[in-house]
Amino acid sequence: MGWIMAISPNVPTDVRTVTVRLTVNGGELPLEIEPRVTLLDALREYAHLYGVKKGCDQGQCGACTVHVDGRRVLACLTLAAQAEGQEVTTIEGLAAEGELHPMQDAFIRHDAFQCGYCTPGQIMSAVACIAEGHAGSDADVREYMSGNLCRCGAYPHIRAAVRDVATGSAEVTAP
Amino acid sequence: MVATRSDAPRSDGSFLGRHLPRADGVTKVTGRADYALEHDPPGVVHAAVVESTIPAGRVLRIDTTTAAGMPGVLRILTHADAPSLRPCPLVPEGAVMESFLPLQDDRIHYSGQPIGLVIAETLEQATEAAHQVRVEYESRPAVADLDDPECTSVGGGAAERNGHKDAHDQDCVQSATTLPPDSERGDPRGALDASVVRVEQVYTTPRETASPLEPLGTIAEWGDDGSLTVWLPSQWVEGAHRALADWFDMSVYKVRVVSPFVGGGFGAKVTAHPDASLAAMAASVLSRPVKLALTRPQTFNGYGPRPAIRQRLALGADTGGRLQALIHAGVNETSFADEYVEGGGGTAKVMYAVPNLSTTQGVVKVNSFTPSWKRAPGEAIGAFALESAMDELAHELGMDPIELRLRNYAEQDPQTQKPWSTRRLREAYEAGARAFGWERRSPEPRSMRDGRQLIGWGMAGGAFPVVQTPAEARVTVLDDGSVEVASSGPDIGTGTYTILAQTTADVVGVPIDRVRVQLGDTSLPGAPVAGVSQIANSLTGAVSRAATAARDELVALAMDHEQSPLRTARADDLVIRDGMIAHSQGSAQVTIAELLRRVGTRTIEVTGDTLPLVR
Amino acid sequence: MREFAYVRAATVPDARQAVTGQADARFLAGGTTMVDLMKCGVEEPSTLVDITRLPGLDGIEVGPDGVRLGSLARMSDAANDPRIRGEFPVLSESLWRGASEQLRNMATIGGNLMQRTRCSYFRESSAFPACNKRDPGSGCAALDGVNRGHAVLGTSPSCIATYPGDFAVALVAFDATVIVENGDRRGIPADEFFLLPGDTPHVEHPIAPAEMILAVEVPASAALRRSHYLKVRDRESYEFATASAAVGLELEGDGRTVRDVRVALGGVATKPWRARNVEAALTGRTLDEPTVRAACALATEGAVDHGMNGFKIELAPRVAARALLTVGGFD
Repeated sequence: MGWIMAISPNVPTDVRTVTVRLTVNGGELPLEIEPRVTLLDALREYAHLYGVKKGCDQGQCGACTVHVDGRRVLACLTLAAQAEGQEVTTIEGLAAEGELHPMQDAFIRHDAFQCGYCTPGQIMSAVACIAEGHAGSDADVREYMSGNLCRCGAYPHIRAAVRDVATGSAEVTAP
Repeated sequence: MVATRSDAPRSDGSFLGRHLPRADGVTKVTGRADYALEHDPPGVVHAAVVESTIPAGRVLRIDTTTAAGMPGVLRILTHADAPSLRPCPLVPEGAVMESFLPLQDDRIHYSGQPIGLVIAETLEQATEAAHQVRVEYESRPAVADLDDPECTSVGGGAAERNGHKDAHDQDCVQSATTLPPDSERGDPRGALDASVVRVEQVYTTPRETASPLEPLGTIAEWGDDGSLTVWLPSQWVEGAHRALADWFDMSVYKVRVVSPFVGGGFGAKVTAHPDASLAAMAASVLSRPVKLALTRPQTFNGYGPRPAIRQRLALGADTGGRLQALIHAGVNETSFADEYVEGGGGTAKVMYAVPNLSTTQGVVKVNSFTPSWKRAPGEAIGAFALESAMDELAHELGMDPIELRLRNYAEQDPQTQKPWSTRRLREAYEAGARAFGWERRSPEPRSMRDGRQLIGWGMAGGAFPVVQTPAEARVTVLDDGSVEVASSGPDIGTGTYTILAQTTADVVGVPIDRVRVQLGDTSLPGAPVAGVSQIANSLTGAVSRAATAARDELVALAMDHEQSPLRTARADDLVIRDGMIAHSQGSAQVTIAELLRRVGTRTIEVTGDTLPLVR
Repeated sequence: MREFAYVRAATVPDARQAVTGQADARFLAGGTTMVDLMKCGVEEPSTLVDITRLPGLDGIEVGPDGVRLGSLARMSDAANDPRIRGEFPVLSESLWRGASEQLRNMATIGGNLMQRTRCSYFRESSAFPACNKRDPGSGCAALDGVNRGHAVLGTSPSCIATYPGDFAVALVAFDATVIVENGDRRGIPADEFFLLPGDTPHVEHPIAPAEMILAVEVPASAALRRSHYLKVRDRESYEFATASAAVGLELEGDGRTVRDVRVALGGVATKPWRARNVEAALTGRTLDEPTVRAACALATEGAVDHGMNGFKIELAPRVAARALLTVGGFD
């Protein structure tokens, strides 16, 4: 048998959790959790990385966007166990402590948010959007940023921030 | 939270009126803004709501056996054993806050109503156990919406009149003493009948939910001394504060509500809702902090939406387009618990110089959460109906829609016959028309195209009251030369952190990066609700007063204290700029920090307010 | 979400065996349908067998004969593949016009074929117990419910749930084959991979629980090279189709006569809907706008209005016609 991993609930109550070894923002993050814990809840409720936001918890708003192995995904529809062994990056890991990623800086300069709740997801999505090559025009940015809802309606400013970084000299790659 | 920002002062030292980055910008883009559910009091456990799956009736039995035996489950609360809550008469009849309190009896008023609460060690355990609670109901026929024929059962009258064919026939509508007085001037009915040109239309709009991106939820923690600390997203911590104190029959001084960041409000977070009372009840019963995060679907039922409303507009005009009569009759849905009035007629009263007018508003009770404020309650939806009817009238008259509005321009308040303080609507029409190239508009339906799409150009106006509510703020000058500003007022994304820093920096005379603003906490000086577009004017007023007083104290210290290098100066010779107190005529100067250290005063703390003066 | 066992399979036989041995066991790929429906309480697997790390199933092969997409290829990788974008536009378009890039980065080609309807009554198990797809024999709440988004084609008295996907609409139009493994490998024509609801709306595909999709093969054709996916929806992006059309066209040497034409509809039917009657009406005819519109009017022959969705009967032929006119060069 070639099982890499097996987690079963058919065991006593107190050992239904398993150790899931996540790699988050470059550091090892072993968590004692149940298999049903999503990556979003693992990051928020177990690792207390609250920069990852829960907006809908059903794949419809993009607030929980993180990078897994450099690709933007939704943490709410990813089981934490699925991400084991992969590199997870959240807004907290986008830039070194005390520094801003060019996209974070652009969001401030373009006033690309109001309440700020969608902002970490927008920024993670935007960084990936450029790395994918999907920020070549305003229309491209509108299409490829559509997975991130902003209830305050900062869309024109978000688009401007993404285009600014995409066309600027700042080198932006998915971490 | 303390927000800081960095930006060099302009040469004239003024920060107000400048394009500045948000004071809370760095905090938000780095994910460090701590929204309500992003706290972890030691020992916190998780709660999940069991919702009613029927809209009307009562709970016969709740079988919690399976759920209670599931791993991690600590407690399941139902109406049978939940703590009693006292009503909170914050605002009468459901505006702002519903009177419904969860788990107090077996009655069911709406689908999605909380009828149980499962508390468990983890979120996953609580969520799944809530799904395993089995409920038996006694179901009753429900009233679904405004058009439900059953709605007559609450208002009395004939079902066939439910369509409200006549503005004055609202038999289906609840005739409640609590409805605001209808407004009437002249003889609207007679003038309408006598009008040469008439337009009568009914505008029905559906329920609208605020749907902030941050769902509702609460963390509640009771202290050993009987105090209660609550983290919830709030547009008005003082309101939530008062509600919790009333519900749990305690002094407001024992309740603290913390909400430094709010992930969008739009009316959903004006006060506290059932998630707050549920979390506080659970925390009380378990003596542990409880976190209750409503799911997105639960959030739709967790606060009041703008109700569905049917508005009937009747306009009468002469052939020149001058309005003779305006009848605006609205009916909105409300819950069985409260008579919330959306009040769509407010705009009609002030918008046009029409001599004969009536506005009325009724309600129909349906099985739903009590509706509430959602983004310009009343005005937004009322203006939609009124302005749509004005467009119909323009079409009927063959008149340009802007011209029609200009012909009925209200030169003074038509309700009170008093002059406007300011009203520049005419200029707005002209500027809008110019910017849009309005003269290129073709009024004929289906006559304008953009590529393969039929398009139309339209315009509309609106009116909104100016509201200012008393507020308090504290300004503290520290001996490192920095300044702290504190108020319980919120920043729901509207920029409160930034404008208060700007105001303080300008008034005191310090660089803006030396100002820290603290908001959204009932332990700070009081502030009103972030609603009706009042927070900027209410709070900057209070901060300006406090900052002015702080500045005056600095000047007094500089003039009077024997350790001050400026002690011989007169007050009007002193300027404070860029953190430096200087003699305007001479070279003597001292930094704020240096002065406070020299005089041995560690801080200057002043509270300012915009409360009415007591004479 | 119910508790479940999570296993990560290393080989296809391991994965299939794990599902065979367990009641209510399910394969887990990108999770965008499965995890979502587990939160809704619609899917309650006892075991999830994570197949995302099975080797060799994520290939994207483009050759003169057509395209072969491994079942674990991500939607985004297939959509963004420059060869697919350039040579077989409908395949790329029907992929990138679905969901969002985040979801497309997660969702796999095989999982895309297994996605389930977005019918609110199907998803809301607690408030709406009646759903023949979720609970056979319990009834259909959508028949008399809010059914603006529901199907007008291929419906039955048991179910009117719309097939929500886009990509499979293209697959059905261009005679793709779904390769599945159940000990033996077999190919299932895409059109047959999706079943009409009939009396058994809970049976959506002609495969066994332990049968695994390995790949999708789309044969090259002139029509596939001159193809287009038009998706009309309530908002411009990140939304399911209200009505959509996957079309392709091959003209005779005269540049006017239709040699081969493909039309399939999405958003309006209970399965990806091949409109063969439209194709038959156009084949051999001279391509012009009246001919296209008249032929496309046949697309919703036999369609049923359930109260709120009747507009789709008018909309779908227009969408098909506009897509055909676009590839025909009439725009």
